[in-house]
Amino acid sequence: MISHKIDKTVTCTIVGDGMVGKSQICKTFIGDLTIEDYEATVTNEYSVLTQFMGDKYTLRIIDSSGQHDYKDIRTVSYKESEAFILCYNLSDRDSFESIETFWIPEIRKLCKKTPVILVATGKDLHDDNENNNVSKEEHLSVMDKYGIDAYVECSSYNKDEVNEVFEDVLLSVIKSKKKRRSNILHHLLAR
Amino acid sequence: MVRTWHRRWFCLNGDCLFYFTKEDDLRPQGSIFLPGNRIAEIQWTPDDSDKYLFEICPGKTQSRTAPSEVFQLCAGNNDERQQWMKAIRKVIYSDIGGAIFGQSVEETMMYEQRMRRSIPYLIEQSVEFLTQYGLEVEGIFRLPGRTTLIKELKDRFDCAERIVFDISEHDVHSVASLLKMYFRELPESIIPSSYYQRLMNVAMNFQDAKETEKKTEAVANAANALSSLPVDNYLIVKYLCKFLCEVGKRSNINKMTTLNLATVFGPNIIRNVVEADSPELMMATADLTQQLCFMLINNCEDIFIDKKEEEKLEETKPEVPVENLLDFSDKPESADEIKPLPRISLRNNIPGSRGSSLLTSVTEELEKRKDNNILQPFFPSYRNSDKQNTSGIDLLDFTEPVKIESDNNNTISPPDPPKQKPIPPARRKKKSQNGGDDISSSCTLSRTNSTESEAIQDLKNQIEQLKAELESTRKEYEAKIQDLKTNYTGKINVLRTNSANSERIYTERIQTINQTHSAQMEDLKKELEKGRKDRDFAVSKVMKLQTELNRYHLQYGQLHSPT
Repeated sequence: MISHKIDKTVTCTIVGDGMVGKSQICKTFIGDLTIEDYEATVTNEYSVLTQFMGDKYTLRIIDSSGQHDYKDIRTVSYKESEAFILCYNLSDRDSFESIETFWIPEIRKLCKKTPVILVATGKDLHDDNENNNVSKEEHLSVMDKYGIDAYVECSSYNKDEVNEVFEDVLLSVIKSKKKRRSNILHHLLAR
Repeated sequence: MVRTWHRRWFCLNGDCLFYFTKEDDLRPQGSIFLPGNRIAEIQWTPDDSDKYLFEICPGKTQSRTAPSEVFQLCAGNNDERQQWMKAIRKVIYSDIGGAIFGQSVEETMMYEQRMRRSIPYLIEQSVEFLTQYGLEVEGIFRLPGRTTLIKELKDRFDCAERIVFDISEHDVHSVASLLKMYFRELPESIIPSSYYQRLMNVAMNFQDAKETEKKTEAVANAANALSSLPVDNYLIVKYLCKFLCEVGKRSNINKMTTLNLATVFGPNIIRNVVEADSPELMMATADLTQQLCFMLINNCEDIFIDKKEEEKLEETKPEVPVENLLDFSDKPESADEIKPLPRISLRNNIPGSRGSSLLTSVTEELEKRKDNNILQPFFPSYRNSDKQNTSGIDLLDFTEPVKIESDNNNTISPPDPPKQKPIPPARRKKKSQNGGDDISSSCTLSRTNSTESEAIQDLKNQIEQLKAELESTRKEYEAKIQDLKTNYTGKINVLRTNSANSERIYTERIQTINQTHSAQMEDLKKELEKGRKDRDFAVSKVMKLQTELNRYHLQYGQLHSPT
């Protein structure tokens, strides 16, 4: 009872183009395995209690709209986000290109240092021989270029793979917090 | 390429962009003559993450005045950059039909109407392209397309280029996004924010309504509210909703149900810009906006009134232009094909419009409408213009469209390739059946058809009659206004005198209060003075006594109190 700490709520926003499966990832994670009936999201919020490295965390997931039109609504939650899950669809090149041309600029304009996790969805659907696919080199170069913290390939319906996404979220949030703390310490010591 | 940045004070004046070393300098350090140049935003890069760049460079075509230099400019933030770019774009392209993104509908239409269009080229071109290729594409309007292509297209449209979309170059999603972007970037949403509150209430009623009757009632309310939209906006909304309805009908293939389309299009169609354009408000009203759009799209045939005539005309529409695009991609022809349709529908509103073949019913229709007193759906624009213009001008409008149409038909049909000759007459016939009486009146003049000319005479008479009626109603209203004016001026005068009276009373009261106060002050001061004097006196007495006592002490020694 006493060891319960307040600082265990982690907020993350899930972004990416329309129809890549953002809402489905959230739904799978909270254990709702019904198949989404293809509805565009405006905004949605989920809270999940989860365990990671022995600690209990409350994970707050903000499911945003993939519509570029909803920029104003979407960016409201950016400030309070401690991590971003940036999704694209493996078999949709356009959604990968949007990462570079739209999403990273939008995120980095508002949140310069927040960790970003790149998630490729539609692993189950994608076919290696199609030339529409995104190659490994490409996503690696994007990760390098923009300092993306982790990369996960998953199918939105596979619970284990989706869990991995959120584990990475927690890990990167913890890491960035530590880093910030040590930065502050350095700053103070340097004086 | 750029090594150092210099801070300069910029000033846009007419066609020139002047720059000064300091804000209060009198002589500019230099100037850029804008017309003939191109302006482009420079993409965001991680290296220049804190800079918001754009450049002005010489245009491709006009070399007459264009300087050879490229100017790179850096704004303080993105909003500033967008504003500067918008302003500069306006100078460069506005006259030739560019700079349409972020330009108000009225300004865009001013140019488009000169080109005999009732719907901006961009909207029409996109919708036609999407009708042809996009109706059965999964996730149309939901998938965002290629950002770079959209940006390129946007820039090209802003540079007044009249792009004809080509499926081999442009994908449907990018075009769909471009269309959405156009609506999103309008300074005021296509349904102006003055309608926001009213339509939101309607949407709420629609949302809450369980029974179909109440739903229909809400729909009727929406139709009523929308009927007073400015004509341009009305036509565009109508055009868009009709198209979206078509998209929604194929939701089994494209998976975009009407609700989905509504979600995606909601904030693009209506926003509340005036009061508070805050994201929180948007978030709170997102479902209402969505509901409103759903209603507009789903019931577009009931909301946008003159549906029947329109429908008949629409039947011909998808077939003809599509073929044209495929076979000839003959731009003037296709423009001719489609343009008149919305225009007809607009003018149809005016004279009852059942067409020349149903002449007798015209009068009935007229009377009916008069009885029902639905003036608003009649003249979407007129109510607006009535407020601003005084008289005469509205009446002219009756004749003007006729002229325009006839010009249109006359000038454009000659260059038609002979192959297509069969089409225009057929179309014309359709029109005259379906009630383009305005047009037929002018077209048939040259054709010398006796019955039709009689009909025209009839119609003209009716127009005259209508004119007279309108004149009388206007006079009535003017009289009413005059009455109200005198009434109100009287009231105002009364109020004025009242206020003057009360002012006088209050000033008097204040003066008396002041006087009493100053008197009291005077009294108190005197008292204070007196007290002071008394005290001084007492002090001096005490001093005297003290000295006397001291003297006694010296003379007789200290007095000892008896023990």
